[in-house]
Amino acid sequence: MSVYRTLATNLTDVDCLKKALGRVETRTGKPWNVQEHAQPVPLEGYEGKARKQTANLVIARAEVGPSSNDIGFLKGEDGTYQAIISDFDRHFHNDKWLDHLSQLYAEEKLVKTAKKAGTGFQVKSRKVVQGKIHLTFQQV
Amino acid sequence: MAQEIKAVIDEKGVVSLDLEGFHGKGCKAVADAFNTLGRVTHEELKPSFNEGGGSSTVSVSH
Repeated sequence: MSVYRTLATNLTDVDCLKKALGRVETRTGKPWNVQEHAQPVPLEGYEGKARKQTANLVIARAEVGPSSNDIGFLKGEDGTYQAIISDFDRHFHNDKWLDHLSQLYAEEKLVKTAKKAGTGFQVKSRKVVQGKIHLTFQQV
Repeated sequence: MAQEIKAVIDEKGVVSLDLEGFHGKGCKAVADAFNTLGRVTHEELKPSFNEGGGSSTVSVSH
């Protein structure tokens, strides 16, 4: 028997989300250092002042780019992380950027889960075709 | 037939999984392990064509 299943990705695994944030494209072209806080901390605006928005994962404004504000991800009661991005920074970090982040997150989560599934699966092949990531896993 | 998991992740992070070469309930157990990814929007059980666990390839859109 085989199974074909489709899943809509939720950002719930903080380790996978941090890895995805380290891979996603950035304005500066440099990978981000993501700060993790057990309790949400206020985000800072471009002028260095604390904003009312808080987040568990923070990308400092200096890393985001010139004149940028902190970018954050806040863990909700359902365990899902929601992005907190200022209007200014949404010009670059827009819906398409968030979609790509979700795609990278899904890849990280798949690889992590496949190792645990059954007796352990590892990536046999990876290719990108017309924007879609194709992975094949085989048992070690 | 070797057990393989094939995954396609689209541009929005929606994942399509295709498990091949598994037998009986073990197949679903492996598939269920991936439920931590998110909400399952579609599932299809494909019957094996022979004792070796062969299966057909089915394309599904969500």
